Amino acid sequence: MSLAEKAWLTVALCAISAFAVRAFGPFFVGTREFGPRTVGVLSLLPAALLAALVVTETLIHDGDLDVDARLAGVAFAGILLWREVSVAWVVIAAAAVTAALRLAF
Amino acid sequence: MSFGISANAIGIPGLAAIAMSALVYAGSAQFAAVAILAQGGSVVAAVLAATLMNARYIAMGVAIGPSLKGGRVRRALEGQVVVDASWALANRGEGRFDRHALFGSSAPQYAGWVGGTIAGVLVGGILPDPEALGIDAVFPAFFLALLLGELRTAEAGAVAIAGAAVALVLGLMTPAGIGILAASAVALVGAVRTR
Repeated sequence: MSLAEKAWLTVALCAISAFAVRAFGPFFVGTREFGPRTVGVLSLLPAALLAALVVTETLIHDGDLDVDARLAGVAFAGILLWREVSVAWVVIAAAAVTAALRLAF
Repeated sequence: MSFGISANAIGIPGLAAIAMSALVYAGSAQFAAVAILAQGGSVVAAVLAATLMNARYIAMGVAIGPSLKGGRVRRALEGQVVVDASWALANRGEGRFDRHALFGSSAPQYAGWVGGTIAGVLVGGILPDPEALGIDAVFPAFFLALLLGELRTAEAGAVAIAGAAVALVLGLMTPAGIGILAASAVALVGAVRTR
């Protein structure tokens, strides 16, 4: 399967799943109640997944450890986020730092 | 806009990226799915990761459901405008939600998200070399921004560290996407806490 075909299939399936997760609560309102355990798991999922994505997207390239200018760009993004710079500027700055280091070395 | 540029940079067709923003309308899930495809992961891994990322909408939908209007089907359709920001802005506390605030905040966000993706795809199409411009740093920087928003409790911080460790170790040993999915299992500690 080409990347384009995989992309279209992913879009279609993600659209269905996004519709389903948003429809679930309002559709079954009153008939389903979640306990604190389920809510606890659901609320922690994004933190686990996002942290996983940060490290794999920063440090892994084609299945191997790859420490390059990206790491500096992402570290700089972390500093800016800590200083409460808006996300749009943070993303641009991360790309700019990475690009500048690649140009320099 | 960064979603359009990034998707374009890794070879996702522009129309597919725009359709995704229009139909999925969830930044973190879209970035996650595209990131896994970019790493060479399977469609199944990409869709699973996006679905797990969106699983919080199940809990948010249960909370907001009683505040929506009409029968089951209409409520399910109204629930489609729920995103993190619109849900939070509509929250009036004690289980009550302002329907008009939900729609009012979601409409401009939707227009901005889809419009931004279109602009990003167009800009991405004329960029010469995405790697030289550091576009591959956009994904992790964006994920980091979303992650910091999730770290409201010490427990979330611990889950994030453990999830990162699992993903890094498995990411080096297993096919792309598996480590990220395995990291989501760390969230199961949310079930054993005592309140």
